[in-house]
Amino acid sequence: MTLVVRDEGDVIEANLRFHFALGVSLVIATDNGSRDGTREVLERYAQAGLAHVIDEPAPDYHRLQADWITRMARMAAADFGADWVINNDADEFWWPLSGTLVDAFTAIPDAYGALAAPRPEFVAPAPGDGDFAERMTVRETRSQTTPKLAHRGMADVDVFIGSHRLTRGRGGPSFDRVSRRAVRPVLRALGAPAGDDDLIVPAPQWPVRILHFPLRSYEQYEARVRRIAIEEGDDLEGRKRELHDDLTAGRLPDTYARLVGAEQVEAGLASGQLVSDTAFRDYLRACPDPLDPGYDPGRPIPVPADPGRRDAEVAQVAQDMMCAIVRNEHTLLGQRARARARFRDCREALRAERARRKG
Amino acid sequence: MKIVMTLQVRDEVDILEANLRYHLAQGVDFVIALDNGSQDGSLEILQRYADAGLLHLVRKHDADQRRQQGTWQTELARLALAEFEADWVINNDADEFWWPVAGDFRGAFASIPKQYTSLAAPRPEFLPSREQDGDFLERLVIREARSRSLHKMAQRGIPDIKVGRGSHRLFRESSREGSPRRPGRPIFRPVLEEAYDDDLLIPAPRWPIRILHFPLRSFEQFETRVRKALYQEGPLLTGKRADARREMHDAYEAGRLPELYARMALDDEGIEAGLRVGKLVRDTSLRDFMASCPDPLARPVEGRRDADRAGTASRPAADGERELARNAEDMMLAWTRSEHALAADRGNYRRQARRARRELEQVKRKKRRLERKNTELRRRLAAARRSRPGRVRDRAARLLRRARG
Repeated sequence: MTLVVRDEGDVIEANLRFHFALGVSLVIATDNGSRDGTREVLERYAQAGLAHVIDEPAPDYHRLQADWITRMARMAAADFGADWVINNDADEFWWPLSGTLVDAFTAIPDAYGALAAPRPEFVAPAPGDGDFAERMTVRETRSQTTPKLAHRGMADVDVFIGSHRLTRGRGGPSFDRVSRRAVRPVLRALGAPAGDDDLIVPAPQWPVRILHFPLRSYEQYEARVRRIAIEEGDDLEGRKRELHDDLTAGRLPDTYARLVGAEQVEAGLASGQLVSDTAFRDYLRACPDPLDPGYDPGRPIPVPADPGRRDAEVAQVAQDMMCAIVRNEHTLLGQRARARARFRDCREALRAERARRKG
Repeated sequence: MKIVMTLQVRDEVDILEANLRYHLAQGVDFVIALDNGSQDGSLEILQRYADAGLLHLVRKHDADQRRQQGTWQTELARLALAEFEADWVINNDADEFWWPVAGDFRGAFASIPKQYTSLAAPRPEFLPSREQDGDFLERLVIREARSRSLHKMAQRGIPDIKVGRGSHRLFRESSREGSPRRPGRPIFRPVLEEAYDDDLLIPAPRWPIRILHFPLRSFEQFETRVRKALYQEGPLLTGKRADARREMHDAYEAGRLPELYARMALDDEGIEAGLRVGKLVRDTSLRDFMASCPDPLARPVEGRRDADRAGTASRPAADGERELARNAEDMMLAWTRSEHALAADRGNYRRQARRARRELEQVKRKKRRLERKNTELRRRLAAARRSRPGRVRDRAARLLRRARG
């Protein structure tokens, strides 16, 4: 499992403990200048031979993230012989619908290079103290964000920003330059269409759900809002600008309170939009500490079996994934159309400008 | 359950009748066909099926069929529900045959769970043959092992359906097409979002159908299609595809089409090599099915169907499982490819837009500079006129004019 972390003190230990229990054998982490104890947690795991830590204190986290992840993903295969690589974040927990993560990966047919997983979010908890897992037990029923991909160990993998897309052998991520549209048959005589050998295709089976805990306390929320201004300068727009204004005007606690209204949670549970999920909390409570002297790394602990719900869960995750495929296509179509319109507008304006000058 | 197939036809006489016979025998209940000015006898075939009550004929004319494709497909799909109560609509072309790889044809549609609104099918192509004479079914028996072009969709009867051009993607009239659908990073969300995907039409994660695609069937038909593509279809293409079109134009003008056709058709050696490495497969399933396919016009409509639907149900189950797995691979690859292709296009347009905007800024800056210079010159000219020597000269000129007048 690879991780890019910065100040994840409230989740990092739970994350490592959880994934080791489910069968992860090694963590490669890039630490981006943590100051809240995250680095020390990683160091303890490194001392125990369970983690390999890279320090990258550079401030441009967002720009470099994909490069860091790609480097770690390649390292996992080349230096540590990984069969599968999970490119993870500290607030994401890969939950197999049954068994362990090892079982989930083992079941993927050879024809596929990746495992895609939907990523429903837990509702932010009301302000207060205590462990996030104890206080966050309600989540979206269906995932609404982009799924993430785990992939087989490949020394030439390219991980695109957000781990939503993968290729191999392109010499680095974020190069979306290869046009691979198959030409219409009538024109195809001119040459073979681009090969697909560089694509890493996810399997049409989805045995894992990623439990996502993006907002865990008011303090962490405020820290994230502060970070926006630091990372993106004063040039904020839209929602970012609003949040920043809320922060400077001292309104941010109210904004946070609106995220987590108890009435809203009740209504969501009643309508089925939200669902109560305590299985994660219970599993985490029982997770052994991999740093304990008596820890047995060879014995992953399966998630508790609930055969009555299993089929429904599998069907739900499949539906999430099919929905994500379509949603993603529509989003890309829309973005492409907007980019094209922008390009055409500019080109027209340019032409008009030039024509006027000549005239 | 009523399955309606829609077809757009323009001069497809060498394949049209096989298509109608095949799908009606497999269990399509009714056909809606749009004829776009056929002159080769296709219209007469459609008319015969219409007379037998098996087909509804719509006639249109536009030389540029490609431009109309999405609009027409949408129109036909809506008609299928509104007038013919379709439970499922297959958006088809004359050269595409929807083949159930496991179980039977109607079962494939019946097996789609109710939370899904569409069925996606991969679409491998058959190679054209060097041999020119005779029925395409006998000649075209080698196809790509894996589908490389975009899949197609069939969908339930939906009143406000919008079929994207080529029916690779489906929308609703109410779709917020183009609006970003990702809710964005959690931190930016003001409150829990409403469920906002209700307008999406979601295909099932089961792919029991493979579309057998016969786009090129003889040199003559290839030549006709090239001519139409080059001279009747508007310049919808950009970038790479425009280049391909230009290249094809040159090849056509230079008389190199036969050479291109032969290259695609491959010689025996090329076919053997393709079969050996698994890029090609020999697929006679359609030919064999058609050998005993009844003629729907030869018998009365009543009682026709059950007897005719035997064709594909008797295969070994293991074959079915293997073919289902191949279809799944094709579809997952198709979606992955489509995602990367769209992202690549998006990236290219964004880069081009940025470049054009930079250029525009430069031109505007230059213009402003020139304007400033211009204003400055004018100002100096006016100042020069107002200056004393200027005024003296002007007055002298006026006096002179008056004296002359």
